[in-house]
Amino acid sequence: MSNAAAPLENDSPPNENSATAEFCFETLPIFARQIENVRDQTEQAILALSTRFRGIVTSLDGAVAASQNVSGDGGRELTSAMDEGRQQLLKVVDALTAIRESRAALIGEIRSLGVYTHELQDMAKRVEMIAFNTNMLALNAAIEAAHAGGDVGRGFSVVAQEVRHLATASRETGKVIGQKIAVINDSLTHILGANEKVTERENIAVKDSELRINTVLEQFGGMTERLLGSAEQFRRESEVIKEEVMESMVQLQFQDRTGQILAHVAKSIEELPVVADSLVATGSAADARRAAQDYLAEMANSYTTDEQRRIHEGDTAGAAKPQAAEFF
Amino acid sequence: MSSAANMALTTTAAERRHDQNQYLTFVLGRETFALGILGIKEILEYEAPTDVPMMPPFVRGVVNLRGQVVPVIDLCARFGRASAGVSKKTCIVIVETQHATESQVLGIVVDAVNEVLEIPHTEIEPPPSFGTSVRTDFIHGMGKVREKFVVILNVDSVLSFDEMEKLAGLGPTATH
Repeated sequence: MSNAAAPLENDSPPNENSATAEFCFETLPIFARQIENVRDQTEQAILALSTRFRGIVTSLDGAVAASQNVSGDGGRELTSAMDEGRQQLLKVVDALTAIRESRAALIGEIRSLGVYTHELQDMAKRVEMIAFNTNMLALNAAIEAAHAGGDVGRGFSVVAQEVRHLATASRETGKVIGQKIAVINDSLTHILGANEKVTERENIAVKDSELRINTVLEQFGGMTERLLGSAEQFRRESEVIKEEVMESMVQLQFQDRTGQILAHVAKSIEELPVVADSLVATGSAADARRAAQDYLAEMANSYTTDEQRRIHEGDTAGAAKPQAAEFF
Repeated sequence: MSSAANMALTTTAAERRHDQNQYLTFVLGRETFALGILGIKEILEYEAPTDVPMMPPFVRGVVNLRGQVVPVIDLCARFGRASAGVSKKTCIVIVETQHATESQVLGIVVDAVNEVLEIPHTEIEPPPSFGTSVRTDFIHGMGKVREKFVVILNVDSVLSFDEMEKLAGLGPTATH
């Protein structure tokens, strides 16, 4: 039995055993490599997935911070900007009102000019009256001159004629003054009339401006409120999503454990032929049994998790009791 | 000496002619009339005459001319037209009329006096026999002034002798 050639010639079962062992020795490393490959790929994928999730969490953090800006400090800023805007726009209305008042003062002055034009009109009439009287005086002088006759009358008639010319010139001037004053008076009346229309339109415009400003501000106010509301909602939902994602990342830690288990299994499969060889080489069956027991005990000691140990001991319900979660 | 005297004579005659050619133009209604200046004593601003009863309708009343009672004639009424209203230009022209040997001072209401101007004899046409709005015996002639005709009135014949007599009772008359 100790001879190596004897079993090859006489003993067929050992031959069969060695063929089976040969087959196992060739197959097991393949399994081990396959398992290693699966473990490797899973690890890669989970790592990539974790990186993605971390990115998502970071983005969500940013979004939450941003929306907190809008709904928190940003909201207060928006509200104060609205108040500021309201103040500024009301100042515009005040300015319009001030313009209206100063124009009213201007119109008051123009109206007082109207009184002067009436006085001037009277003066122009008086000038015409004086011219009329002077003309009559000149005509009477001419009549007197004609009655007087001779050199004296002639000279006097020339003077009378000149006075009459002056009277005519005065009358014309008086008339022109009167006309000009009438023109001024007309344009004053026109200005006052136009002013009334403008004032009316201006009053409407100021009221309209106030109304529009209030409407716009109300619209903006409503929009701001809605914006703040949706920002707040967005923030809350983002928080929830972030929680979910972080939860998922914890779940992904299963790979750590399964990877270790798979690695251990693969290593054990790799070692199996060597172990089997050494068991065969031990000689007596009792020795071999003892060696196998030792190997199994050694294997049990090399486990890193409880579940491996439990499964090793035959606990089929070895569902993972996840150990304290740690982040990557 | 005699030539100098002649000169003086001719000058006087020329002056005389000059004075005789002078006319006062005035407006009555829409027409312009003229009166020889030597027949006019003076022009007064209009003042409402004092009403005198029992007078013909063309007599508006009398005014006091420096103590002298002067009847005022409404020429429009005399010409058979409606009288124009009184305006600030309305005047009373005081004239002296001659009737035979008597002269009478009268006031004539006119709507406005215009000017004293010279109308040479050559520019005066005889009154037309028809077509004027004024009876032709009131008209001395038609004077051409600046391409237009003015009616030169004969103030002596504006009033009849009887009318004159009646008016004469109102104020002093001068006898020649």
